[in-house]
Amino acid sequence: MQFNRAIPFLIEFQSVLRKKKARLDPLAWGITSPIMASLVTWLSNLWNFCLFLSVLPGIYLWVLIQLDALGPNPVEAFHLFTGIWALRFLCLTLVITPLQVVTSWRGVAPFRQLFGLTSFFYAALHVYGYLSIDHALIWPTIGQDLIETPYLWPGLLAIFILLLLALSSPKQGKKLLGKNWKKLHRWIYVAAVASILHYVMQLKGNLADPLFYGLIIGLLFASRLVIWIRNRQVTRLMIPRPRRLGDDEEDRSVSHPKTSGIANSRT
Amino acid sequence: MKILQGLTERMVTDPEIWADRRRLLKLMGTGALLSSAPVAVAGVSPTSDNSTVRTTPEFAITHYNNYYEFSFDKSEPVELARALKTEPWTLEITGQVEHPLKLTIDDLIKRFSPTERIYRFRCVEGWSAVLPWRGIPLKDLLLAAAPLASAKFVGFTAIMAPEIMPNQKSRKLLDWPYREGLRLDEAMHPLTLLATGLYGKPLPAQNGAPLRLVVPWKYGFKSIKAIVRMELLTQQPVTTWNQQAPDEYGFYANVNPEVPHPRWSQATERPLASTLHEPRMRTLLFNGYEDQVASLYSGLDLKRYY
Repeated sequence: MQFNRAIPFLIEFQSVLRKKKARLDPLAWGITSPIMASLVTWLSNLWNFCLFLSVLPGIYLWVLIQLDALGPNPVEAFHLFTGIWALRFLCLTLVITPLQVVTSWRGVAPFRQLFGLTSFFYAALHVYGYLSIDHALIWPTIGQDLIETPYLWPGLLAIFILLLLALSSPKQGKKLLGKNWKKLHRWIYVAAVASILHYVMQLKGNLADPLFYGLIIGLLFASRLVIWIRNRQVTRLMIPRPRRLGDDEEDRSVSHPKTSGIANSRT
Repeated sequence: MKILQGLTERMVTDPEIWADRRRLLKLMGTGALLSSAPVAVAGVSPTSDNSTVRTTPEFAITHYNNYYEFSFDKSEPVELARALKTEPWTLEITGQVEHPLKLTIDDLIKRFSPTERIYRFRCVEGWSAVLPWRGIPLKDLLLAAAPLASAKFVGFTAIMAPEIMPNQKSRKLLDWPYREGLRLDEAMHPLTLLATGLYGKPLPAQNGAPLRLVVPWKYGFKSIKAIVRMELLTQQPVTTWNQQAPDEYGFYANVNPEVPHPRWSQATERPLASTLHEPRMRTLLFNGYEDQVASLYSGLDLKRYY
């Protein structure tokens, strides 16, 4: 495909993703290789596309390792790569619900779950990097390092929360926890703040990058607050509540009808 | 003389690293011949059983630079520092000296014969390297300037060039120009080097050309780059990182595994260019130069004067 057709292609591609158009015809765009054509067709589905986005950084990291191309300090590069992608997917997870409110788009829960699990995946790789790739599983050194390195503490808190969220992520987990599931999953904000702190604390000076992610998380948090205040005003006016903002079908199906009103309106 | 005591060579398959090894041994030989000073790599003891020593690949140390005047990103100085003009360059020695000096780099190299030294280098961030420097023992230069009895400290000032150094121009993070300091006895120690070269070549711009300090038993931030002025002083000078965060970066900044940085451990270090799953190395007191420098600090509480 020629370069000058890339932008029209991307425009058509995104309208296919948004289901505004029927499937994209690879041949019309000069994609003749059958492998590329089937890849494009497969990616023309939003779920597949998000799945691909989630594994792409991992594939890239794997290629870098195979090519021995992680740079002068490969161990540190592994830490930075897995850490930043865990944080990016955490931000993406937090974007989903506000996006749903703004666009009144239904059925976003699976995407939120996908990105949340992806964030956990990169965070787990990050921990594996610390324990095995860096410390070669030499436990006495790891113990001393954990005690003497305060910047690891918020990181530990974040991975512990992400682990609980990942474990309770499947449908069975939701059923088992009932309305506590939502309470538990609000801890994602604590994990996000702890991650930013973990990022800031290991730097020697320049805070521009962690502040950028901190700002994103702050904005998302503010948007939740706005939604919460709006919901509260609606309940105060004693108007029969419309469909609760920030909720989706799956969450509603598991919350008890009697408690889903005022008491449970913290979103 | 202790050079390779307690060390065993490791099998290395990479020919480039092998070539570096041969050069390392050669340089250590010439270093030992040219200088009566205790040279080079003292006992390296990693956390694993196999003791290893190897010079850091040249590519690693020339593409991984903390040169905050140019960038906070270690991969950028290699490109950005090209803009630094190191010719002509004048080093000024002033203050409490009998003979104030003004020297070009050529003068310096002609007048004081450079020697080769292989030193371990430990950054306060926790990474380390083994590097073959070329340079002039600072002692030789100071003796030529003849410090007065009143001189107790040496203050170093790096170049101020905001037109080519972006973070000086935007006055980001630190109070520029970069300044460092040593006690006079530290500056006169035979291990203290004014480096003009690295890997048998002139010092690359990103590594501090044309002239940088190398104090191998202290954290790397003491080893100031691109020096333009040295001043002999009666009082301890204000130094850049100490001024920025006094509880984190001391004036002494001696490598010490038992004194953690407030935010991270200093017990171990990660050698540059190590492979994944390679164990970290234990950091040694005074970066392994304890035998040579510990006497400078007898009676000093190293936890208090970090």
